Amino acid sequence: MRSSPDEEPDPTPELDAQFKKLALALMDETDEPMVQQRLVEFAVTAIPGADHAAVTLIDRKGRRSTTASTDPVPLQVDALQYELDQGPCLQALVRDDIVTAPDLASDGQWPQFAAATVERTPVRSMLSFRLYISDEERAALNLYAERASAFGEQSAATGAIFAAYCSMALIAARNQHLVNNLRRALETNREIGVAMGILMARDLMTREQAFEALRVASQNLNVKLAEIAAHVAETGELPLRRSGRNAGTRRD
Amino acid sequence: MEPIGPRVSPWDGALGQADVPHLPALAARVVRRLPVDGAAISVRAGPDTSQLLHATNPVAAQLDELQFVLGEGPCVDAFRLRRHVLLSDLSAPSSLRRWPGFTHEATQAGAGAIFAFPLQVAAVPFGTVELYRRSPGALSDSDTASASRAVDDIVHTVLNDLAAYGLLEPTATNPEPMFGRPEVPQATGMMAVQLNVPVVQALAHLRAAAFATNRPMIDVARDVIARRIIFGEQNLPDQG
Repeated sequence: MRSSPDEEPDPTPELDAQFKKLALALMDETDEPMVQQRLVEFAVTAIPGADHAAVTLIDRKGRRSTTASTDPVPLQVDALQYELDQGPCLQALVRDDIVTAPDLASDGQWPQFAAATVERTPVRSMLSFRLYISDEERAALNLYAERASAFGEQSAATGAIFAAYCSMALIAARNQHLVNNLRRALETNREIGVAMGILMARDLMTREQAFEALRVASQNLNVKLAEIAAHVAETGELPLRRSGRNAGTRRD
Repeated sequence: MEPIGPRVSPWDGALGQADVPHLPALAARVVRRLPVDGAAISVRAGPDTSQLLHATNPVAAQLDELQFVLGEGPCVDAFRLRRHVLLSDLSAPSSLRRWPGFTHEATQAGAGAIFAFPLQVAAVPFGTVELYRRSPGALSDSDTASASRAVDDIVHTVLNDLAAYGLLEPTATNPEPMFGRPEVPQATGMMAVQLNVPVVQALAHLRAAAFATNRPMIDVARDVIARRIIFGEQNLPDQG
């Protein structure tokens, strides 16, 4: 794919190298917010015209938020969209795959939002892409420029490819996060169960009493329930103290 | 879903209770489309940590449980090896050599062939899908391929449902989200005290008791918790 000589230079070779760098950076990153952060930082370097970038999300309960941003400018712009309930990011979240706002100073699509943005922020044009994460969660990748008509065909083309890449990276990060939580939940539940059983047999407690004893110990010692449970499973006793404070809760 | 095992079976109680609402329809579709008679989906974190999410019938549930009780079987291996384990004939000598206890018990339970697939994301396994047939018989290549695609769907369904219902996310009010049925670990802890043995050994005793009486572990565990069964009664600690 070659662009004609009078257009922007073909960014493909450089983009290859950048994608490779991004892939390497994401390989070690399993923390979802960090993955989003890397993606928006990559977006401003790779997509022609972009001065700022952000990811916005609508969760299962319909709450809208900006979950990653290159700097405070997108946060201001997005806050206006949420407040006025209109704008390109929201439209990309609920309706269209690609939404452009070439010139906010003369925009007729979202008049209140456009006017407020021009008045209060340096942003003059925007480009948003819908991301696909799951049926219940919607997200968008948003690009912001400080001049009008900053986004050309090349921006839309590169942005669309990058948005698809973002969707995959976010799905992978999210699934990784869920799997880690699932495995941890299975393991800690087992440990909590074992600890409850030990207290139930040793101190003739009911299940409720045993759980309460673990919970109280966790609260008093300010130690995670799972750690209290691990201690009980290992030693057969509730920990009585931490840093000298006698906060044992053993009840016979 | 037609019940294949006896209509009233102690294994009915072993059917999953975790809240994965989209899983039953998906599992039923897999059973309908493939030459298999039942399916069971479990989440796992290790050999001693597994939780049945859904079984399409009591035999599928029992095959899942047997592997937990015996600590061996195709799902245990599929989880450990992170790849599918296809066993087209449980009566073959190779099956008996590989899983002596499980092969015998699974045959008794009514299985002729069993196919196990890991649930995993980026090579991190978190569960298994078990498919079984009453009579021996292999999955064709195209069946295996469509089973793998179905497993991918199950991966996403399980993760999406668990996320949607907030079962996995620690919150301020629920710092340790409880997941699945805690009876087995609780009984294990009680038995460790009653028998004065380490927890691993107590679990082995619970497994042996379930196996010896041909009951689901969860049932035996409930008896232990209700003190209808007390292990090593003479060793009960002196209170006071």
